[in-house]
Amino acid sequence: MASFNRRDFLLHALAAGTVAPAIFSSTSVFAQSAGTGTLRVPTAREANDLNPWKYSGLWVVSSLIYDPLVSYGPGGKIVPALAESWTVSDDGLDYVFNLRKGVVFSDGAPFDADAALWNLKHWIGQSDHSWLSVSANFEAMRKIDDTTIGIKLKAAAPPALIELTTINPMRFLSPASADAAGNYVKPVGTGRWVVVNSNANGSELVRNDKYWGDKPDHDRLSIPVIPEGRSRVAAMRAGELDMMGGSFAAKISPQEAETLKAAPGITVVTDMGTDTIVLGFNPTREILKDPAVREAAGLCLDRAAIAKVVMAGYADPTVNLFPPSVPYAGRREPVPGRNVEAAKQALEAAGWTGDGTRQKNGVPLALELVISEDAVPGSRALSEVIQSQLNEAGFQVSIRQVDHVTRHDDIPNMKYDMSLFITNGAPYDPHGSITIFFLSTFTSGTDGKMFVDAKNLDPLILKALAADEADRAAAYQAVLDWLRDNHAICPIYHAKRIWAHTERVATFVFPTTEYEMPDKGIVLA
Amino acid sequence: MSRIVLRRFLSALVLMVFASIACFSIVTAFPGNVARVIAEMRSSTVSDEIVRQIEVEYGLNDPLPLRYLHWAGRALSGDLGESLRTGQPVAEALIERAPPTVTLIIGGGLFALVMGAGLAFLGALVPGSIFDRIIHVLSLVGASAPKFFVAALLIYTFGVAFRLLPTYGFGGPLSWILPCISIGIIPGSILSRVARVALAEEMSRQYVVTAISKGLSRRRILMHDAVPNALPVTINAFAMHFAFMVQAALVIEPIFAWPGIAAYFVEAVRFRDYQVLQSCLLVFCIFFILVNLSVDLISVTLDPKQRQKGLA
Repeated sequence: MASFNRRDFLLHALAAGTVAPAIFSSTSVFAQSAGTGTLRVPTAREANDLNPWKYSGLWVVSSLIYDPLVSYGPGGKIVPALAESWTVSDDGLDYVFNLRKGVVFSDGAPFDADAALWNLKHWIGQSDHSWLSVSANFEAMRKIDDTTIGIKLKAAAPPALIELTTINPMRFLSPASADAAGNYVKPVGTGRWVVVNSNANGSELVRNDKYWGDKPDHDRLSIPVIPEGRSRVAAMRAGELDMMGGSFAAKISPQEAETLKAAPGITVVTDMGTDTIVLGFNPTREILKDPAVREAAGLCLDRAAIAKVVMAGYADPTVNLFPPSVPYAGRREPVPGRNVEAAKQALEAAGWTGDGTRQKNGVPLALELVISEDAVPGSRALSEVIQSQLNEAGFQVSIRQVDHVTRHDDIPNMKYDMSLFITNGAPYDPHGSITIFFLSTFTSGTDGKMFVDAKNLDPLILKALAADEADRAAAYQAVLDWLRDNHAICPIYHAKRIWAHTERVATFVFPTTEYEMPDKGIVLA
Repeated sequence: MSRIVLRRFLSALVLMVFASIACFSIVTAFPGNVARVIAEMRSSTVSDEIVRQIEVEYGLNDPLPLRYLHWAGRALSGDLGESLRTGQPVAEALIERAPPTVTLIIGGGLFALVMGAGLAFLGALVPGSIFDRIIHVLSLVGASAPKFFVAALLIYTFGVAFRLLPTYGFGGPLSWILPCISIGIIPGSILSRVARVALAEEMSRQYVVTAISKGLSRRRILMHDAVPNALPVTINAFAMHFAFMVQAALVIEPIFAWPGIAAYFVEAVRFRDYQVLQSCLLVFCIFFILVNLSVDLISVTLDPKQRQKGLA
């Protein structure tokens, strides 16, 4: 110890402290990577595993790399993508896809019938993917020629084509990028972008010069991971990002949208959303089996005020399960104003009486509202408004805020009285939400059920799902009418899609669904 | 000396064992079934049957002590399991994510040290002056401000208003400045008060009066006598706040989008990624114990009185 005195120690410690950060420094920095041809758009979480056959990756990033056979066009119209054309047999069992000729993956491997079938074999007909009707009803597939494939189903699955437009597991990976056993190794697709790297910092992509369609206007795409909403807003205002938004990329809250709108050089753009926030009732709770209770809850809500105040105007109040942007969304119902007196009368007539918290046969009208910010962003503020509005009519609503995991355990196990749900949106609706949330025989897993009635509702749902195009609208309307007439659910609002961009983005075009990143049509100034 | 070091190492080891038990118990006691979340990664809809399969596969129904022993045994061999969310080995992810966290803590620590010691020294040089009082007020303000507020203020001022520094991202030295200041300003402010008081105490001692009467300058006395004597107290205070910077990193890393271990932990909390949570908590505990061990040893090295008494 004598040879290592106090001064030596302090000098060594100072030197170590100075050098260590330099040693650990990384070269990647999105904050300074603004080239003229680089579009910078953040995500709230990292892309993770971009394996197209798994569900753990970030789909908005996958959507840039991989293409589907067919795409979801405006209004739910199916449009060509890797398949130039297709035919469906009259019985709905045989699908034939004519693949686009001359398409290659970004690694140069050809996209042909063999590559398409190799991809399909990784998921179609497998139990992990049986939530998709095209997979659950799969019987066989075949190569007809080098650019034509056929898929045969055991039973008709009318949503099959729409399902094929979705992201995972539908998109196509280059067989050349897999290992000898055919397992995913790296993300190589036929899409407009090629991944240079993707890690916890974010993803860096370059333009795919082998792309079969219109190539992007810019040559690089930087997708930094910025978990905090306020940090993303600050980065936009500082000119370090070019655009942000979307439900699954980097959601902008209504309050953040107002901040961005007030910032110079930033434009906030909105579009009609495709999902709906719904107050759902646990159908197994005795109190909630009484339609009068559900009706009264709906009458208490001031949807217009919620849309205006809680959502700062970035939502449309509704009593419809689906917004008009979803195909077969049904007839538009007028949105009633708040009517507490009518709610009280409905409860009185049903035997719920008393001052303060109402009671019936000694049972108080006490309900627990389970919410999760992860499932429905902004649900804390919304639930407090619901609590206050329902309490005025004699309900006693308690709020239990839970995290992602607890919600995903409590909701399927029916450990709630009421909860806030969000419909799937395009391209999954209307069939997706109708099946998952209302069909009693379908295992919804972590999504849970908004309402079920095996005897009366299930037959209507099954009829709608099996209906051909001519009868489909009427069949879905029958389901929606039943839900309305029985006060089964309580839709509140359709949230608008919100994106913001700086002046570097000369032209902004919304993607057709929130599961995709805005890409086609984006032009830099 | 070697006896003190050995004793300290042994107590640190015992603490680590207790810390690992605590980490495991806390994470497994959380409500909710992680098997559902694991199943969700495999399929878009999850049946009860798949959940039960996963519970068996991951041994989630085994008795808690058995699960702990399995986990601790693997951890000792460097296998911290895989992230349930990404499938990446946790040990590999921790190594990948160490640079931002190490940079943040060392950079923030350096800033705190320089700020705290510097302000204390300058204040002690001109005690009771306006300058000293301004430093006093600034230290109090700095020590009272919440970390997220300091970070937001710095981002707005230097990133948004003047556009001098990047507001997010872990890159070159420029991107380190705001996060390191944000994490270091509170411990730096507290340190400046502790050091200032320690220096004032030293400067009021009899030997200082004697030195001044001999004609030595206040600056010389401060540098050569008061500062070395105030060091053990200052370093103890610094070390305590340095160790707590791990906690501060949980706030700072997500704000500045630094993909460090603290941000990894925050993400894991959301998705109850229990293998990641247990490992991160263990890393934090080990860091805390090691910092305290280092401080004990440094104090012994710097303070002859402690060495002689065999205290630590």
